Amino acid sequence: MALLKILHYPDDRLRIKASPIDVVDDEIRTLADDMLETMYAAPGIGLAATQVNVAKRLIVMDISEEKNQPRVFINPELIEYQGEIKTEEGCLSVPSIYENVKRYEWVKVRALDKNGEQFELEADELLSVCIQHEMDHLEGKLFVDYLSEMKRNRIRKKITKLARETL
Amino acid sequence: METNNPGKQEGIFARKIACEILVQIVKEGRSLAQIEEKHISQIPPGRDRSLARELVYGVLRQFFFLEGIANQLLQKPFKGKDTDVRMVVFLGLYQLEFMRVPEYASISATVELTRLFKKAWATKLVNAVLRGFQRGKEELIEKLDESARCAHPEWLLSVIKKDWPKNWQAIAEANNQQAPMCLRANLTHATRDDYMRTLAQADIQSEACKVNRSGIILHHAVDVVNLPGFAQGTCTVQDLAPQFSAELLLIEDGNRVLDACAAPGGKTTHVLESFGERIALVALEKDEHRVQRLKENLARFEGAEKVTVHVADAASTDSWWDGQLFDRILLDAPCTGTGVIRRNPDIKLLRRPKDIRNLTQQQSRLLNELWALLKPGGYLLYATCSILADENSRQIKTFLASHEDASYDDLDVKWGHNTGYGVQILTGEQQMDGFFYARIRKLELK
Repeated sequence: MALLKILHYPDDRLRIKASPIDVVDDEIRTLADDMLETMYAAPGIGLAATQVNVAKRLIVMDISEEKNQPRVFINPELIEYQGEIKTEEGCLSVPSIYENVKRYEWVKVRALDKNGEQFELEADELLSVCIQHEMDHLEGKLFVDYLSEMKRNRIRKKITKLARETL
Repeated sequence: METNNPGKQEGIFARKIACEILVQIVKEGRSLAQIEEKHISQIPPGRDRSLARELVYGVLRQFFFLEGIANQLLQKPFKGKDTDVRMVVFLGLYQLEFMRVPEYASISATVELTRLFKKAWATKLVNAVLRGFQRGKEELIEKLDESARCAHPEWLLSVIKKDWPKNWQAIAEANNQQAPMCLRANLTHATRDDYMRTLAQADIQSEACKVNRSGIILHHAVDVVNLPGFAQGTCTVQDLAPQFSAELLLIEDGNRVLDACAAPGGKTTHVLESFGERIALVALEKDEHRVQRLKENLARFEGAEKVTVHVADAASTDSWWDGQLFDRILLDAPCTGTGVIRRNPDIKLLRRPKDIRNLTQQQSRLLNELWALLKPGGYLLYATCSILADENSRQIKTFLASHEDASYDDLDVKWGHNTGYGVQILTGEQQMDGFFYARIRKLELK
């Protein structure tokens, strides 16, 4: 197990579209474990491979209070969705920024698990929001893309400044 | 994805509320009593509520200690607009030094709390200060000056030292302790022992006060609604020290009695429950909101409707007085509250040196104005919850010197320190609040 380095906005590598995973092997399983460890340490509730500079379609999350329900989605696809929900989101790649984003309220997702088995999951509330947020990463998309250009510029400046200070 | 939901991380919300309360006190000069309930009630009842209260009271009690530590670890002082971050630093230091929370948990919860303020620089700074304290704790504490080590503002500590050269350390220590919740048993309903048995049946453990007849010290604080007979006036929440006033007034049947600064009514209800309709009782309170609390308190007692309550400043006699003299006057005067710091730790932050002078002038005006309303042969009982000589013994000495119809009546009691001009209870003695009593008799001048 190892902690991975999380890329920070406005890093261009966060914009790469991830490629599907052909075989779910040990290498993928190790990546998933490392990503979960990185996510818990941050702490965050979800992480996409894109954020740790791996352009593969893999996301992990755990929205439980006790942090004992890790979930792994490989090659996730949204197959159904409904409604609208607006909640405050934050992102480990966009530190200390929290903004309201509109998402589908309910989603049905199909993916492979750590053993390469296909499963389907229906989700609402936080889990639904988190799935959509992480799946966006695989498309090279960030939650700040939903904000106005002015807001996004302000955030970019703030984060660049923050990065300089922490050097 | 990352969430910014404070409820997610355990205790973060409680810490956030504690921080908000502290900011309002430190930055805006609000008193804890004014704002505590409004903020605390946002937290669901239970463990987190107790945590928030513990943090607020703890940080206020140790404020000048924490400030002394923080100042050594900071390169420059905080700006006023960053009082929130300053309070987070104090909260973090408090948890590290005074609470039984694992150190890593204190630090991570505090850093997590900092993130809520969306001041990116602050997270790093808070982390650095807390780690710095962890590393150099002994040396940092060693370097504190005396007032910081005692957790008192310098000016206040020097006044206490001057007034009580032999007792100041014990006073400072007592000021930083948590005060017990105390009750006054209504002895016309049941004996104290009987009432304590009733409490025990309700699973409330207590002990009897050794210096007065009515006082009960609870082992743990409880909500008043859980006190048997509370609504019927069987008991009143009141510290032990003020429970002497009804007795010291030497009330006789048929007396006209004035309680000049009555709210919230602890002493008014004591006089009422002890003498009921055998006396005529007038209660004054100048603050309209506090009058409501006085009335609520009175309403629990039989005969409350017979008490005359005026919203009035006792010193402006024209506005309320009907021209009839009083046999007994209780003047529990506005004061610095330096005897009740353990119950109101914000006093150490909010009081200023100049307050002493303003208050002594107010006290002297009240004494002078009320003195004219006392019947010759009657008694005035002067009381404060202060431990400062200016407000107590010196105030009485000055009054006696300027009124030839005033005779000092020495209190023959087994508690406190007799100053020659009244009896001073120092904070923490026999578990009591700091309190002062002086009784003055009005002579019939020929």
